Amino acid sequence: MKAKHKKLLARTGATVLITLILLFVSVPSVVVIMSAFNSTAILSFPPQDLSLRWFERAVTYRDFQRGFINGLIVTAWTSGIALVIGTALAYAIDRFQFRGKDLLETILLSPLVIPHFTIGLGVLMLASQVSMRGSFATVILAQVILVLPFVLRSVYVSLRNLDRRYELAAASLGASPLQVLLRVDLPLLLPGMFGGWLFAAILSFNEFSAALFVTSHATQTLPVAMYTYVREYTDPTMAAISTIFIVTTSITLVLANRFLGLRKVLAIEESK
Amino acid sequence: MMLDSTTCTATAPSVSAKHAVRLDGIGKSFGDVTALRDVWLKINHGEFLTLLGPSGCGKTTLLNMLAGFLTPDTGEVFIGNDCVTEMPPHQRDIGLVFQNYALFPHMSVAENVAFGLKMRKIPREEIRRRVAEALENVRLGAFGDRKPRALSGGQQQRVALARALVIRPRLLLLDESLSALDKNLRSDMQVELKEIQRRVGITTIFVTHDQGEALSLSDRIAVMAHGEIQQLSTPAEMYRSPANSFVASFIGDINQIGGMVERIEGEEALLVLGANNLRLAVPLSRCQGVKAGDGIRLFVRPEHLRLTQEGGQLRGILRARSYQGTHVEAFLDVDGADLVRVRLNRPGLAEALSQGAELGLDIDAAECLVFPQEDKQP
Repeated sequence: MKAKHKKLLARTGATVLITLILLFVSVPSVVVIMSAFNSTAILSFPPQDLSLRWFERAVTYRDFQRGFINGLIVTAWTSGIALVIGTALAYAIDRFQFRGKDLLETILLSPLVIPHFTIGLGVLMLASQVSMRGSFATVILAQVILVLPFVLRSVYVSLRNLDRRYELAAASLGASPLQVLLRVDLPLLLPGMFGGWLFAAILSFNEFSAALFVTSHATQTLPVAMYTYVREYTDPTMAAISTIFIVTTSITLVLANRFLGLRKVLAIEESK
Repeated sequence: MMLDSTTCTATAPSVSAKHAVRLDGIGKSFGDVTALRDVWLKINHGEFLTLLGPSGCGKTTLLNMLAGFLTPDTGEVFIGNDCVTEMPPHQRDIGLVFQNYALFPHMSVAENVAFGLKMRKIPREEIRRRVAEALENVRLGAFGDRKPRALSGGQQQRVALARALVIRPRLLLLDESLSALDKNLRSDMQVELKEIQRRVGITTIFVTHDQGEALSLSDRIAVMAHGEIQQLSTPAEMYRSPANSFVASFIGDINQIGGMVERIEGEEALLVLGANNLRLAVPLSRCQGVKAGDGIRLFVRPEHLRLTQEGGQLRGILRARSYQGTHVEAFLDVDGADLVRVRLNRPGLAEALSQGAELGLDIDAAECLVFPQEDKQP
């Protein structure tokens, strides 16, 4: 009887705790989402009357439209380039012994500890030297540096978990080293590569502090456009665009999970 | 003659090779560790040869050299007429089955089996036919569309075997291939493996640390230790006449009793054994390199000891009994020896004995083995 009570108590406690944590994590988003439906022009909470007018303004506002398109361009290039470079470097670090390997690894992972605005500032100063300030190439360069560690890490972990005996078995069956790479390694690394790419894409699309330095009005991404907007206006358009942001990212993740098995992508050890 | 054969030149292709595999003086070191030391080995066509030994004995290194994953420091590897010492694995035409099978998880069973044929650019129609045939051959005809993960261990094992055999390799290598299976399944697979191997008639090299598997499957066994082949012979010969004390203690159960040679008389060596100075005459043919006055170890198998109530050459205290179904094993504490294991074929006798009883043992001297005391003992 006593043990039963204890069990019940523990279960209730755990439920309450988890609920609180979930609330804590989601409260800011919930507040923003709710105020997006406010009919008045003041960014306030809770909303007085419900309306969709701020959503209408958000999607028709020129700078947001431009920022969204720019964001997609930057994200596509950034995640693609980072995927190729990150995979190649992960493979080199896993498979080959060479001088300066540890140093290379440290440098490649350093953007995780260096503030984004430092990297933004650095790239801006370099770009000014060669008169490429505010160009897409500059923005993409800064973003690639930022997201590379995520791709590298993800592919590297997959490589470490790859059983080398698959490669040996393939070789014994007549596969040349290139065929082993294409027909055995690549398919087995795909979940890790996809996971790294997805992280890189989401990060790049949402990235703000480095982008603030390196973008111009013509190349500014959505977060930068939002920042510029919020400095001039304080109406719920911001909340509306944020809501669109949250919903879009969520849908992307749900779809990725549905069709590509995000669970498997993230729980890399399990897939072995 | 030996010098001549170590050069890596192929014999005229018209001459069919005398041996399926030939290893000429293979040596390999990893840093300071010598993995293989001057290994010479000839394997006949269609033979099932087992490389048997404890871990670190060099058997896996040897297998990796046959597969092409490692290159020897010295010596040459021949498969048929071809010197393959430096040949990369994908050109060797070798079937390989790993301990964990290494089935490609992203391919179906049929795609796994088809892989080697695709690499050989065989027409699609023929691939389909041969894959179906290979799966039928291992009784998995209906499983082609499954993923390997959905199969049991024994089924995965058979897929791995089919995948290795479908390319019609010159040589089949099995790397601890049965070790991952549970005991009952393992003995079933042993029978099946041997049956398939005989049907296909393929030369097979099996690497294992399990002496039971080696005895039941092999045409010949090469026992390895310290990077050297200790003995190469048929299982029966290996069991009855091990070449040294290492092989004797590695193959099957065996008891050891310390002692010395008192003198040699005609065709017999007279031994003094144990703490009680038991005198025993053993045929010289069962003694290896011993002379009068040498310290020796006597090896005798459990089935060559006879338990008696009264008398007996050795006396000991019954410490434990273990019922094995077909027989009973009794463990006796004998002075001057480790616990002596005796096999009793009549379980009734053992049950009548109580623990702690003093019993006698008669030794079948013709089946004993005598090795020098200092014989290398890994």
